[in-house]
Parts: sequence; structure tokens; C-alpha cells
Amino acid sequence: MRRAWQRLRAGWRALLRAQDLDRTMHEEMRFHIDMEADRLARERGLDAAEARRQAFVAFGGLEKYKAQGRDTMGLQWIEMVSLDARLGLRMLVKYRGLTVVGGCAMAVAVAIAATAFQAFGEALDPALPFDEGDRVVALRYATHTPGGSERRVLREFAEWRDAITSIESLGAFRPAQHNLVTTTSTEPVNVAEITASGFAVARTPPLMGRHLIPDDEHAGAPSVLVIGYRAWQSRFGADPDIVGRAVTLGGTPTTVVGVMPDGFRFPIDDQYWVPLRVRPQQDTRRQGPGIFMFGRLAPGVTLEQAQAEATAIGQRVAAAFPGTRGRFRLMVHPYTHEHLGINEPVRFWMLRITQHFVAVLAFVVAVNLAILTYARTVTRLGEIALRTALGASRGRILVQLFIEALALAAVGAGGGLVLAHGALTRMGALALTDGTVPFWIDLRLSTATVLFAIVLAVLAAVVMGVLPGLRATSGRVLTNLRELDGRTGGRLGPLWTTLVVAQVAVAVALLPMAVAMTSRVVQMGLAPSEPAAGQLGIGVVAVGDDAAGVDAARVSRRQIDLAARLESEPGVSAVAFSSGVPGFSPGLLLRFDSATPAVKHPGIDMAVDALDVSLTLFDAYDARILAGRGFSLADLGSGAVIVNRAFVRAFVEPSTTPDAGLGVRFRYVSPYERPGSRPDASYQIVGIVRDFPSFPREPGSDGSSPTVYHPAMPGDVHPFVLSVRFPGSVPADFAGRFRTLAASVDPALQVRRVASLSDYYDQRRSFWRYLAWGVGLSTISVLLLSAAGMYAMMSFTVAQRTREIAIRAALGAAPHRLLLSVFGRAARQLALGLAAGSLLAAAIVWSADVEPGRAVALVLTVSAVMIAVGLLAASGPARRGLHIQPGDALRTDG
Amino acid sequence: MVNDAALLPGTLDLLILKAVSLGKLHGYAVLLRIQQITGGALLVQQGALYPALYRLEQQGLIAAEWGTSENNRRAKFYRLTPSGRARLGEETASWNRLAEAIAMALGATRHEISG
Repeated sequence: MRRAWQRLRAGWRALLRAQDLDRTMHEEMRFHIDMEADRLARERGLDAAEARRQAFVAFGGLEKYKAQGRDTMGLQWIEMVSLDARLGLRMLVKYRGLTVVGGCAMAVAVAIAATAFQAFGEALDPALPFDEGDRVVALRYATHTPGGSERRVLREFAEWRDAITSIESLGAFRPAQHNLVTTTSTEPVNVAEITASGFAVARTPPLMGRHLIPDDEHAGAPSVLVIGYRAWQSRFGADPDIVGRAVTLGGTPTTVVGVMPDGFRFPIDDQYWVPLRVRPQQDTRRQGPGIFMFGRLAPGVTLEQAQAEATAIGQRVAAAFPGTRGRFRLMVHPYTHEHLGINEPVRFWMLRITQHFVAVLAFVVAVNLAILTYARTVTRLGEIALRTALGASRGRILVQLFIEALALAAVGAGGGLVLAHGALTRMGALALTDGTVPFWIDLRLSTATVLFAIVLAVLAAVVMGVLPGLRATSGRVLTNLRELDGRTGGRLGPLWTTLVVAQVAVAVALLPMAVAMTSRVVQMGLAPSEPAAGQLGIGVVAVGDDAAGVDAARVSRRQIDLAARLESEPGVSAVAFSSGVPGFSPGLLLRFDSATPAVKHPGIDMAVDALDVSLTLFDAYDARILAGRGFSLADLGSGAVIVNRAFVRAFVEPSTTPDAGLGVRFRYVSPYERPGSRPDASYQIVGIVRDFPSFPREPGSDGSSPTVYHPAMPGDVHPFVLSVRFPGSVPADFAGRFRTLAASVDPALQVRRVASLSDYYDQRRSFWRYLAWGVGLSTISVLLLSAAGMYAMMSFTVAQRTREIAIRAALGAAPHRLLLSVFGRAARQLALGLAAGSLLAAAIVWSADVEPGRAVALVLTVSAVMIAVGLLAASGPARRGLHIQPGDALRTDG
Repeated sequence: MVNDAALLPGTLDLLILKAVSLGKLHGYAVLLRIQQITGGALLVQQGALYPALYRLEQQGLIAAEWGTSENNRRAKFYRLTPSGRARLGEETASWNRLAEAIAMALGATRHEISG
């Protein structure tokens, strides 16, 4: 043990100082030879050249002793590894098929595992990137039921801020949106209304000026704004005199008092901070805006101790207001977890387990590759035996096989990391197009993730190299030596048969589902866009800062004014409004009257999309009415609705008449979710419109979502979406023109989003496109791996019998009988695998709700591919066996 | 006396330890010292000295440092470590016991056996 440790230590030191050791050894031996040459010249009177020659002879082989010296110092180990690495690289080139299939499969597996490791790791890390960032916590006032959070706690917050001692700098923020008016532009910006304590929690000094201070929170204090580095650069042109500059924010003259440094985006992903004004005397309970609370654990206080104090405070409130607050608790969580929804231990552990479970995928691939590698290793048994006979230890051979496998795994891991980098970059970009990425989430490959991929590659190499190696080197040397002249040891027993059967079974069981999933996602990602989308532009507009509580008459006036100005623009053929962008409206639950005979599921809650639309929206979108009629003025407030074809397909009993579904009545399960509707409101279908847009919103559905369209007047919905129709394509300056017109109507109008409809749809669907690529790539690699595994195993099984075939042919057996016997055995293994796989596939496909006809077709296709691959693999070696000369076969026997 | 006798296996390490126990030496001087203390009776393959020196250094029995030789060249000097000194003691005692035993065996007479 001590000796092994000494060797290891020497080896490690040698690795670190390899070049240095080699150089000093050389210098020392040259010194010796020079000294000896001097002595010979001095004592024997030899000339310099002869003295030197004799000194070399006396020394006895400089390189030999250097090699011995290296060995003694552990340097030989490095040479050995470098030799194995070179051999491993040569094997990659020699077995190109295995390299391509194995490398791709490993790359996809490592890419998925590394992406999951990075993304989940970032989400689960409880620390913010601040000084002692793991001590920043969030407080939530909620019941145990899901979604039971009460955010309207401004009044309570003011009381807790004074009462709680285990949490320092207790603060709060609320996200808001305001129009920022500078001398050059007017744009809506996301603003964090935050208590000054937020900056104390972050412990980050400002870059210029100051951050918010408690005095800013007082009523009557001047309006101040702190901006982030990014906003300072992009919105204010890095103005060095920014501090003290006047702007208008949400209609209020405001002074910029400071700039925060680059990277500071607390509390979520913010660049503008204004004081949150807490007025305990005026704010009544359960009133006012919702807030998010945060703080820093006091020195020496644990999360559990803070939770205990918060629980006691919560119980006091519950006792004081049992009616409204009886079931509420005050909870303390790590800040990051609270804002990512990981606020229950079970969710945390689910994510943690998923994070590591994904890594198992890499091992499934590695085991599969191990099977392939084993086939390769067995073909090299003779070479291994020869090396053993020449004195190589079993460990030495295993190290060689491990390094060869590591070369393959490293190629895969390298490719996987490149893929993971691309995937993470795209994930970040996608998240930004439709929201924000919290500032503590860093979607770049971290050192930990790279190390994780390296560990995966090493473990995979152990599975791929050492396990087959252990089995291959377990036989007797003499038996293996026979392999050198082509004699096989017949070592493939029940294990090999089991592997063949399992390989086929797993492929048949999993591939149909993978193919079905891929086709769904690909269909979603690559489906053609809405035909009219190229001619439509959309703008999402809000009147004022708060989405709720806006005066309907004001909304109506602004909307009509803006629509009129847009209509008078040259080239605009129609302007219509709606409560959302068609195809992406919010979902609601409805229930048909149980007395309605024509519907499939009367009395059961069904999910639909609901959209309020202007009377002219269908015309603007070229959406033809297929049955019934379009909207008229008389329909406003009458309960008349139009539904799309997808709605009829999903809910109405099939019928030969085109007007099936007309006249059907329903109610919404939660009418209050539709602003302005009466609790007892009932709706009747008066028309059926074509599906638009025609692509599905998410995979799994075959087309549009079932949608209900309600007629609406300007002022009924807020914020509103204006759809602008052009006879040709949408002009390039559409967005700029839209914003200018909106500002001319009212500078306070917030244009939250403006784009051509095709760009909007493309952006919404880009996630599915990338997912389609990811899933497609994974499926292809699994298919390739399975087929290659199948091919290797079958061809190897038959190759083992090549000589038996040749001998039987020599003894007079008919070729077709021999082939039948070979294929019969292969076919039995295939059939067994197919049967087991089909049973499993049926169970999986059944549970995944794939259409039965499609499922059978998929299972049959995959089975056919496996049979074809299996027979193809068996035919080559069988033919070779038949072509061996009987004499040759007999000569090499025994 | 037999000139240039071959070295018994394992004895080179013992000779090196003995040579460096008499003073700090570079590799070539170790060779000269062995020739000196054995009266030139033993043949040491010069190159074989170095793997042995490195082995003893790895085992911590001798320590090395770079210095300047008598002809002002950079050379690596070896000295005995405390554990090397202890090992030299053990090996010397063991060798003496073996030598005595061999000498006794070779000096035995018929008279002694029968007596």
C-alpha cells in the first residue's frame, strides 16, 4: 500500500515536472561523461575525441539508462499513457463507423446532461451573486394551498419591518411599467418600485451618484430615479453628466440620482429603480398593489430560526384576524428559490433528482457503446493475448483499453459541450424575447459543468473500455492466442444472446414513442405560418401605467383615435382590435348545458381559448365564416359568440351538416376570469369561422386550439392589440410609424410590443423549432446507435460461426441449409427481442395517448428496420463462411 | 585478488549509501569513491549508477541538491539522509552476518563436522 502510494506520488510529481526531470537527468549524465573523458585524456594521454568515445563506451548506453531513470522517477508512466493515447486516436480513425456513431451518441447524451446540469444547477443554487448572497431571503405570506399567496400586504409589511429581528434590511418591491420620456425618446420601461433597503441587502455601491435612501420613501419627497449601467449606456448614451438630469417617468418629472454598476440587476432583471412609498397609516389591509418582500438573515441567524420568528408573527396576525388571515403563514425561503417557484422542499428535490437523473442518459449510451466496444475488443483477443504472453499485466491492458475508450468518450464530450453551449445560448435568447432571465441565472457553461462533462466522459470510458476489457482478459492466454490465426474460442454464451435480445427489445420499445414525439414537435416547429400573417402588423397598447383600473371611456377614446390615424396611413387597408394576438389568447374552462344533445361531453369542464374581437377582425385576417353568420352590432352584449373549426371538431358530435354546432349554448366555469362578464352569463354559438392561425400552439394538438370569439367595442378590453392590414407585405418602418402615431395620440400611451405578425409568430414558435432540432437529433442518434449495436452484435454472432459454416460446407452440407440454420438462429434472437419490445412499446405508446393506428405503424416500421439491419449484418459473415475453401477450414482446425 | 569482479545483485545500493555516507558527492565522484573504497576490485557499469541513485532518492535514503563541482561546473550532489543512515546500518549488519555465515561455511573442515 505504502509502495503504491509512493509510486503514485512520484508519478504525480513527475507529471508536474516531467520536462524538468528529463532535462536535469540529461545534464547530470553528460557531466559524468565529460568528467570521465577529462580523466581519460589526463591519465592516458588520449586526444579529446577518443577520450570522449571511450567515456561513452564506459558509461554503457546513455539512452538506456535515461529510460531506466525515467522509469524510476515515474516518467515511464507518462510515456505509456501518451503511447496509449496515440493508439486510441489511431483506433478512432481505424474504426470510423464506431467513432461516428459512438461520438454522435455520446455528444447528444453529454449535451443533454450538461445543459440540464447547468440550467438546473443555476436554478437550484440558493446564493445570489452578492457578498454573502446565500443569506438573502424572500418572505411570502400564503396559505398551504397552491397559488394561495397574498401579495397585498403593504400594511402588514410596514408592521413586520419594525417587528422582525432575525432578518435585517427587510424590504419590498413591486414591478411596474412606466413611460420614460427623455429629450430624445418615449418608451415604456420596466421599473422596480423598491424600498431603499434593497440596496443595503445587495451591498453594492453605486457607480455614480447615489442609490435610493430611506428619505426617498417619504410622501412628498422629490421623485428620484436610479438607473442601471445597461440603461445608462443604451438609453442615455453613457452621458457623464447623467446624475441630476431631469426625465419624465409615468408622467411625473423625475431626477436621475445615480447609476448602478454593470451587472447589478436586483431584484429580478431591473435597470430602473424608484422608491416604493409605504404609508402604514393610509394603506388598508388587503388593498393596494401586490409586493414581494426580501431581507438578509441577521448575523448568526439560520434560516430555520428566521422561519420560527416569522411563524410566530404570522400566528399573531392569524389570531388577530381569524376570518381573513386565519389560514395564512409567513414563510421564509432562499431568495432565488422563491422567485423561481422552488418554494416547497418536494419541488426542490424533484429538480435536484431530475438534474442528476438526466446524467443517467449518458450511461445508457455508454452501456450501448460498451456492447459495441466489446465486439471490437473480442476481435482483438489475439493481440491482447500476445501482449499478455510478452509480459503485459492485466492492469496494463485494461489501462490501454480504458484510454482507447476515453479517446472516443472525449470526442463525444467535446462535441456535447459545444452543443450544450449552443443550446444554453439559445435558451437565454429565447427567454429574453418573451420575458426576462433573473440576474442570478447565468446560462453560460460554468467550470463545474465542464468538469461534470469530463467526469461523465471518464465514467463512460470505464463502462466502455474497462468492463468489456475485464471480460475479454478473463480468458486463458492460450485460448486467446488461438484467435491470432483466426480460430475462435466460442466464448459467446447466454450473455451475448441476452444482449442481442435486449438491444432489439429496447429499440422497438422506445423508438416508436421517440419518433412520435419528434414528429409532433417537428410538425409544430416547421408548420407553415398563417397565410395572411405577412400582410399584418400588430401593436400591443396600454393606456396608462397600471393594467387594471383604467377608465374604459379613456381607453375607448385613445383606441378609436389611434385606429383612425392608422387607417389614414397610406397603404393600410384595415385596422381591427382584439384582447390578444389571435392564436395566443388566454385559456378558460367552459361547460355545455347538460341538455345540449349535439356536444360530445355535456356537463364536463373543457378548456378553450377566449378572445374579444372587434366586429371587423375576421375580415382583416381573411378568416372566412364557414357556417352561420359573422358578428353584427346587435351581437354586442347579447351572448352571441363565434367559434373556430377546431372547437367544433373537439366538442361537437360529428355530423354531415356543415352547420353542426350552431345554436349550442355554454357557460364559463369561472365567469369572473372574463373582465366585465356577468356571473350568470350564457353564450350561444352563432357562427363558425376557419382556424386562424392554422398551426398548433403547442405539440400534441393537430391544429389550432378550440377558440371562442366574443364581439367587443373599443374600451371593452385593456390592454388592447391593434392588427393593421396592408395589401402587400408589412412596411419595414411599421414599428417606428406605429410608435410615432401612438405618441401623437397621447404621450402616455404605452406601446408594449409592435411587430409584423409573421415575426411575432416566428418568435413564439422558435422555442418549438429549437426543441424540434434537439428531439430530432436525439432520436436520430438513438436510432443510429441501436442500428449500429444491432449490426455489430448480429454480424459478430454470425462471424463466430464462420469456420463452423466452412467446415460443414466442406463436409457436404447444402449451402441453403447452412444459411437457413444461421439465419434461423439470428431470426430467433430477433423475434424474441421484437416480441418483448412490442409489448413494452404498446404499454408506452398506450400511456402516451398516441393514436392506435399510428402506434402500430410506428412499431412495425421500427421492427422492420431492426429486421433489415439484423439480416444485413448476418448475411455478410455467412457468405464469407460459404466462400472459405474447405481445405483451408480443415487445415486451421485444431 | 580477483580483478573487476561482478557486483552481486542488490549490492550497488549498499555501496552508494556507503560512498555518500563519507561525504557529499556528485554522481561521478560516487563512482570514483566506490572504486577507491573497494580498491578497484568491483566492476560497476557507470551508467547503472544513475537509475540506482534516482531510486535511492525516490525512497528518501539520499537527498540531492545542485552545486558547483571542483572544475566549476554545475553538478548534482548527493548526501545521506537520516533514514538512509539507518538503512545503511541495517544493511551493513545484515551483510556482515551473511558474510560471516558464508565465511564460516566455506571455512568448515571435515574434522569440525565429524567432531
